[in-house]
Amino acid sequence: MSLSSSTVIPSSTFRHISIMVFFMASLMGFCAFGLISVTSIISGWTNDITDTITIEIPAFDNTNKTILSDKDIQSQTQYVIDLIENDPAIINLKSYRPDASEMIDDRFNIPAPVFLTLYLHENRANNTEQRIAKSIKKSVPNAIIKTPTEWIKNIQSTATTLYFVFIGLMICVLIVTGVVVAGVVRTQLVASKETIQLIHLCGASASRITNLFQSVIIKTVIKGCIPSLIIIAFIITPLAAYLQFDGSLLLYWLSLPMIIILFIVLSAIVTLMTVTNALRDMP
Amino acid sequence: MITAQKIGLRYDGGPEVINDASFHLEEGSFHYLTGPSGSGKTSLMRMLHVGKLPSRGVMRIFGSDITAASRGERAKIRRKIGVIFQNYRLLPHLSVFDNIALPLRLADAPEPKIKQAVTDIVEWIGLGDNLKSKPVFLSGGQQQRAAIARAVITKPKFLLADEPTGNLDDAMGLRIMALFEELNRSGTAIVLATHNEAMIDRFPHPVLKIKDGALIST
Repeated sequence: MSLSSSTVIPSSTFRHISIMVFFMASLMGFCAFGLISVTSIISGWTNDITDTITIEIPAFDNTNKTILSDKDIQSQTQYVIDLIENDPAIINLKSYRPDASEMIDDRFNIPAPVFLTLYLHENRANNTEQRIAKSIKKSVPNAIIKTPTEWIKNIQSTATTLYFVFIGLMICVLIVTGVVVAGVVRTQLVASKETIQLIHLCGASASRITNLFQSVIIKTVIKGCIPSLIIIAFIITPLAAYLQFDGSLLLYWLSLPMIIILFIVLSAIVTLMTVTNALRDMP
Repeated sequence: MITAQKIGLRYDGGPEVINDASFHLEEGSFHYLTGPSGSGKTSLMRMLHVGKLPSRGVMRIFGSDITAASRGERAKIRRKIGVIFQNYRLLPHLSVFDNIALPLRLADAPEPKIKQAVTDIVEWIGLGDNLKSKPVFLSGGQQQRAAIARAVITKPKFLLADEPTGNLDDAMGLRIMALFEELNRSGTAIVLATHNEAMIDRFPHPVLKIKDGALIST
């Protein structure tokens, strides 16, 4: 039997590290869920609106002073439809006109506007939206044309902020974990100084002593991670079902073992650096 | 086997505690190391078991220049050296068995071999009934015997002993000296630091005398 870690480090020494890792791994798990949720939600939103253009034929002319008649609105709508229906970039066109009773301005007896939604080909030319908008505006100047570009920009900017928040939190969790592990290992090195000096004199190399510490730390980290990830799974499963997550949930489940690996690698590296640094004075 | 050429040692830039020491220890030799307290015996022994490196000069152990050797090579050298410390340095959280087995475990020896070796040595040294005890429950003499057992269990090529019989009664002191003689006959070189003139007379071997950090005679 080779030298066991308990020769150098009493088994109870790193118990509190397990508790710390439990909380840190939980935080990491929730951050990862947050990250994947944002990705999923944003992609859902943008997919719904990316390939559309909305055209409103309002009840006013382009000066906003003259109220158009219902007949004028109908004829403008038909004109727009005739203009674009054969455009190869358009897959489908849907028109919608609210009932007069749905209109806020019903009391003023203003005709309801008509909304046209154009569904565009995914593989279209870059300037398709601008081209269509320009040609409609040229013939029907009072038409209000809305492309989702601005919306998407706003959504993506919010998403980027959220990504940074979650990634920042994850980095903070890793830094705190690293600092705590380094502190505990350093304390244990001081507490076990006599023991370490003795086994060093008996012929243990620096890497052997480092391995003794690493094996204890890794076992402790696994002990902390596994219950935390089990609890996360219990919380996330119903939450994901409620949020109607699609394939991205699989990505999340795959990320959980990565969290364990990340904590193990981090702790092993921190331990290596701390022990190597402490053993520098020993020849 | 061990050669020192004008070696010096200083701690943290302080004055030299060993200066210009030169000596040669043959394989299978037996030397006493004597000198008054504070003369540099412990410092010289630290260099001999590669616990400290000389600040200057050249020291070769088993053919390797210990200053130039890598840390891994120094660890290998230390594995061939047995050390008996004056204050025993037994690990308080380990049993007597585990303390004695420590060097064999560091050498990754198989467990049956460890068991056999520990059993043999403790029977001989008279600690058979205390194998499961923690060092704190042993007398000073028993702790010293456990420390001796730990140092010799690997049958080292070189044994360093700092006052190894200081806490033992005469009968046990003689048994331990007989053990050292037997180890020496089987090829282990020994350096034994002692103030015990009677022991030096009874078991005559060359003496390394150290005074104020200088090796003054052999």
